[in-house]
Amino acid sequence: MESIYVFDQTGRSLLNFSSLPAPSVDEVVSLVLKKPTGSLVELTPSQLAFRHRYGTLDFVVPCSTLVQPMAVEAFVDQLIRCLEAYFDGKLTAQLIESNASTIMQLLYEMVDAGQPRITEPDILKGLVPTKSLLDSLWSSSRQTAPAWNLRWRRQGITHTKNQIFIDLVESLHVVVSSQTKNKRKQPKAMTGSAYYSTTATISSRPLVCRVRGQVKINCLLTGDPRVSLQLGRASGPNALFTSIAFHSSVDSTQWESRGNISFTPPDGPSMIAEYSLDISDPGLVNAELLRNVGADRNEFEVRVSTSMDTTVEHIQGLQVVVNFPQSTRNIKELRLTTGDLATSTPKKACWSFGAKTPVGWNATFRGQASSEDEPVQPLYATVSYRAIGRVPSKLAISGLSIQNQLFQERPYRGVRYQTLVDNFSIR
Amino acid sequence: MSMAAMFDTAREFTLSAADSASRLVDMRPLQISEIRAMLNSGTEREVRVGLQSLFSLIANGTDTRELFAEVVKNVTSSDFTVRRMVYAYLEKYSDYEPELALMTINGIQKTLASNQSPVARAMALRAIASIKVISISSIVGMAISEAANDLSPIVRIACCQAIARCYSLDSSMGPELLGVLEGLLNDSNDPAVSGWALAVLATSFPNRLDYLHKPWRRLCSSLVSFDEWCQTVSLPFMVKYARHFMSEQDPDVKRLLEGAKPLLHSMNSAVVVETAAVYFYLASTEDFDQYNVAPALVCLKQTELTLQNLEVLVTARPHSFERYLSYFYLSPLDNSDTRVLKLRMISNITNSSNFSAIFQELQYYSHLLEDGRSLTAVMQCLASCATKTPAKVSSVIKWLLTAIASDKRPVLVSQALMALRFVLQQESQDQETRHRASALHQLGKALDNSDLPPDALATTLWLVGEYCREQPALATEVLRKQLKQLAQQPAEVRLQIIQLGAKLYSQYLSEPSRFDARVPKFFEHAIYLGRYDSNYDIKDKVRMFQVLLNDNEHELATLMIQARKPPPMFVRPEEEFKFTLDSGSLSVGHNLTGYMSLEPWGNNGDPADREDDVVVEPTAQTTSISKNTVHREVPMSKLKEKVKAVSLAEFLESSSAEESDDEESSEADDSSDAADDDFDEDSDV
Repeated sequence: MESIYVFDQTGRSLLNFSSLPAPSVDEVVSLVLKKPTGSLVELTPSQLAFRHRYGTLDFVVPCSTLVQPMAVEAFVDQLIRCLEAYFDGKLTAQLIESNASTIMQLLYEMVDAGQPRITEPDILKGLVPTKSLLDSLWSSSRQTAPAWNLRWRRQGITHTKNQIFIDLVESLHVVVSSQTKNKRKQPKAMTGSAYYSTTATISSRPLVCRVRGQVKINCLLTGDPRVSLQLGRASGPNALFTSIAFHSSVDSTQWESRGNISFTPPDGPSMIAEYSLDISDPGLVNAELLRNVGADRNEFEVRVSTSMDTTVEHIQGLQVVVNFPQSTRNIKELRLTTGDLATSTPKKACWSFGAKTPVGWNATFRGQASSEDEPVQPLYATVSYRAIGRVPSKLAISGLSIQNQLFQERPYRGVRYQTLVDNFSIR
Repeated sequence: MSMAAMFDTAREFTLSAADSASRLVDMRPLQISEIRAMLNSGTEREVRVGLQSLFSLIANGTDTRELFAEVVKNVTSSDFTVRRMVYAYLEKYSDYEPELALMTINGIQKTLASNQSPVARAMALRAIASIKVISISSIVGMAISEAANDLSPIVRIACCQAIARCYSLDSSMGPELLGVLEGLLNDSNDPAVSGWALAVLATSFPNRLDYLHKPWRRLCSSLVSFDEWCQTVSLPFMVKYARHFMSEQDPDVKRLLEGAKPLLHSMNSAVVVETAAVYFYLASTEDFDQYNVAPALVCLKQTELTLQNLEVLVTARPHSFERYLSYFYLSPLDNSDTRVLKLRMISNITNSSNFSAIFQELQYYSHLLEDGRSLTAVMQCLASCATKTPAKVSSVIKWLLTAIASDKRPVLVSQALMALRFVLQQESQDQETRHRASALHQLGKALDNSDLPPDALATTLWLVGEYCREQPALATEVLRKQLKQLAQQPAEVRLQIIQLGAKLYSQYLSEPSRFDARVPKFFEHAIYLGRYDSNYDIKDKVRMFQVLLNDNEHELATLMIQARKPPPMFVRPEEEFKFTLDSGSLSVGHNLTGYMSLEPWGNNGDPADREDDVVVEPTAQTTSISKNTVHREVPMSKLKEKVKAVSLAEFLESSSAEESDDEESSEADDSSDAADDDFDEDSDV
């Protein structure tokens, strides 16, 4: 990696970090910014550049042809994670510009002779004081170098109140193939679900029902404590992860032998583990899409329901979006039991239920859609919601112990379960 | 909008207003002259703020070289942050002002020798190694060999990185630096240090595989304690070592497979892909499955680069990925590059047991997707899946024909026809041609009544012509009908009609009895029309057919016209694909400068060279280092002599006087060290 550039959406350079001879900003703008994000662009026979898009910002990293592209991508990811942790929020053009000199120093610590060096947010926080601290008139105190024994945790961390918060956050990826009514009666023209319905096997079991989970912690503990987490299922068969990845602080031999996630955590918020597993049904919210219904078989119906659950008070921000083909001109509402329907664009019908939806509830939307000359059927519908209180995999933190504790009192421990659904589609 | 949300918005508004207000006051970029005054002011705070503003200027690309003297005089500041900014400035500009840069060495050395904080010492070492003035390389070498004995691993890690910098500045330092690096590689106190040493060996001395003999077993078992960035660089180097010195059955290969296992749980996707490469290049398919490589890969975030690497693995080991087929299903959110990559993966994984599920998916995609590129890929994928499962070909053909006859999207119709062509061509001559016969007849019917898009029409005519020997009556009938409307067709269709005539006629010349007697007449008519065509390509073709297809000698024509055309391919061509995993060449699809292909299995090593991985009780740092570097004593002592001969004070005093000498010696260095890695250990420097 020869240098790191950050651009705003107009192609104006916000940050230019280079210690080695690097291509000029103009060259980068003209060659790289036209390419799609996440791509590797060949600048010259011996020089490449990687482009990563973040909101309206563009991160461009010119590098030699000998580089490992995956490492560059992973580094840019980590750089963004570090900056977000350092500035405690999303990055914007203004933030980059007004903190440019601080970011230059962070980059000095993160890159040495073109190779990644220190990329742990906590260590970086200790190494580079924030701009406001340095600028403040009253700060005449000399900055001294921090120290660390573990490469992700500063030495001598103290907290007046010792506490640890654990967040189990799961996002659901579901694909349900919907039931098809009246298989035998096919419209002559190829409309709606005709392609699909001719061969679709009728089944309500999801084609894909996959959980991606994250174990996040916010650790505010004095000294270098050893935390051990146990991940168990509240009920049902034992969880079987397709794959699980750990923060570098986690001792993976403990995981292999005892199923414990054992680690000396980084200070502050961090992600300790990330996993993926398949489950049998989406749980809390279910939805179906019926096509070719009604007397003339030119209507469709969407049904959504929430199941009873004692651990969840309500579903948050439930929304169903029904997507139609490009040629659709008109979407008509025939029956709507509850919720608000917005059909501002002819391709989409957004059916939303406000901030809170109770459990053990259902709703139906019957409608009709057409293109210029004929009725059309929806392509697919997506469901999104949030829920606090449980996770779809039914995993739970079944044990939490802290060893090597330098403080007397029993630290406060908080556990929260959260479900985020934004990739739930019904065909 | 809820109350809370309103408050949030209001708060954001206030904050951003406050921020822009403060921008007006504070953020006016200082001019160089103002910064100069601050740097000269002598008060610590002023200097710090001045340097901060200086770095804001550097960040937006301003050249600030003129402040060199003012900046570097703060090199001994007692403020850590100030020193870092000075070092960073020095790193950027040292080669523009070599003499002034040399003035800072004394100050940096003082920090290096006496600062209590290992982080401060590590930073000073980096600073001294980053001064790009070749005449000081021996001073840097001295600092490096001292830092290698530092008690703090933070400094020893910085020492590894300084070795890389020093070597790139002056490659004649190679033997000395390798001696120090070997000590660090065998650092038994902290595996993180040997990780960095290994990473530097891999990047700066990629040919010195021999340095891995001794520590191999220990490195394998301590891989998990390496920094993630050392892991990404070291793994391919270790694969290279293993393939060069070992055989697949070597138990030391197994050690690497075992040692790399926890790395499959890394959150760094580059580490996971490089670990997968270890099992891909060193282990059998059974081991690849045993170590659960495939699930770790499919769960990675599916970026374009990840999918490109996955494609290599899925193509080579489709069975290992069969269980994870649904990870490659398309999502409405994918972009078209991702879709194409995933569809290639799906076509690789297809077999007779999962075909039905895949067929169903592809049908849905053909319906859902609207952009041409994705639809093309879906149809190509379908065709390639169908040819892998001969038992299901008929249902695919049936579905394709329905789509061709009734779909309203021109792209889909054309692509369905291309897919049909692919499927039909895959059926070999001796296999039963029943599918083809009925398909061709249906296509013939489709030609009659529909308004096929031109490229679909051209493909259909091509197909009818290609199989006119099997279906002479159909072909003749199609030709007769098409000739009537030839004038109204676009050029590509006109060309195909004339070619159909030529194909039929050439078959007729071989076996007149099997064909309609009107064929010569139709051909003559086609030639007649073509001769007056406005399109030059068509005129040329017609002239060629006229010459080739005369009654006397038509063997050449038969060869040319009746030759079987290769079916269009969906899989990626092999030349884009032969590159090693996670190489730039694999991503861009062709050979890049410096690409290194996979090391062939060599079995050139002797297991006796590799030391056992004994758990050594942490000993005092100095002893372990000196023990390991005993046989490097000659270059080490030489280095010390050299440095002693020119003490630093003398050096700085006489640096201007010695300038001409330095130039000479650096030239000599360059010439004596043309072969950078294969130098002789004992050569005089």
